[in-house]
Amino acid sequence: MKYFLLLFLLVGRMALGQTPDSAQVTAIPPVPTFKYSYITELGTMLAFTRTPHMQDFFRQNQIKRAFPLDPFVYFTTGVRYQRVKAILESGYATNSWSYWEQEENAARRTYGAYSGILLGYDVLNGRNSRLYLNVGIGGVFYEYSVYGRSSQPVAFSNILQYNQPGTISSLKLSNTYWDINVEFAQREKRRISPSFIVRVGYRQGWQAEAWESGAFPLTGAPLDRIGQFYVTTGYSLAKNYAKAAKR
Amino acid sequence: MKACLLVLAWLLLSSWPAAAQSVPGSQARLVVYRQREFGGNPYTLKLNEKVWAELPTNRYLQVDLPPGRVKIETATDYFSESQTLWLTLRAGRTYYVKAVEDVDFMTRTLLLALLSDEQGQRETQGLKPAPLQLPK
Repeated sequence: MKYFLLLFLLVGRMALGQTPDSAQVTAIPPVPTFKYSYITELGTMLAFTRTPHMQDFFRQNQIKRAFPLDPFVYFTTGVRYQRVKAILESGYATNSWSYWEQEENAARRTYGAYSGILLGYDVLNGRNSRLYLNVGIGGVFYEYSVYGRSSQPVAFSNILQYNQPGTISSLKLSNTYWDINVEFAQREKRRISPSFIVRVGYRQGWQAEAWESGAFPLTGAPLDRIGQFYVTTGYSLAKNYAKAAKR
Repeated sequence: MKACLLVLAWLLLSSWPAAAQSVPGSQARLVVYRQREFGGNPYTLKLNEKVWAELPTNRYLQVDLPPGRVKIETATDYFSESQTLWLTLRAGRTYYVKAVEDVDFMTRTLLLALLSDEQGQRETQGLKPAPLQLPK
């Protein structure tokens, strides 16, 4: 009897104190408000690149131009403080598609890279996502080779002396640029929080720069100001802090 | 004059809170609503294990039910998790359930919470009724 009474006292309060709506939730959990985050991000970018004067040169000389849609892989690292974000970014162009062109002369992109800094503010700040408006500056670098095809056999022992007409071993362009993009990012929910990020933006060279060659000093080359419309998709990992770190 | 009256009537009716009409005496009224959300997905709701309707953002669902236990549940797909809310309905009362989407990396869920009549009435003002037909 004593044990029964003890058991009743132990569980009675819980059992009798339960509300009829036992599964009732009386409030929606609040939105996590981490004050600042360290963010790293890895992703891919597709960039539609315009270099109008060099493209004109290729067209006038029946050189098949390189495909203007450039795939990149990129990496960023940065910090977010409340609604402001600053990131350093760097990307490297990959040649993800094979070259199937059969034209006598064809231009191929042999190198493409960019690096810059972005500063953003989340103009829309929701429970699940943030929409940043980012602006930034940076540098972009491109190099092309022009291949002149021939059916004439060349002995390997003579390859250094052989000079194929219509071949340009190196055409390089570097531009400093301004950049503006809109970024959709999933909101951080936990102390260490992965998220999905998409950016759509445009970058353009500050001023037209002359094309150069890595093989020899080039004079009288056309000037180009790169224009690049791009879309990036990536995954980020953020370490989030509610308060300022103690020293 | 007629136009003014029509505009006035439309303004009054459009801001009329959900469930402002009186509840039939032997019934209880359930209102499930979602406010405007940035990029919110629609969710299919189940009522006592039966598919009820799809609830998008900025909409409410309303139904009169006999008193007793009722189970509100969100249907799931590959990326969403189910949430369940049990309520014990009493005749003549209106129950306001707020639904908010919560998205985490690769998963999402529709949180459900029973709120006070005051808050429910205030937050359902201006919301439109959700279509009861599920999209095919």
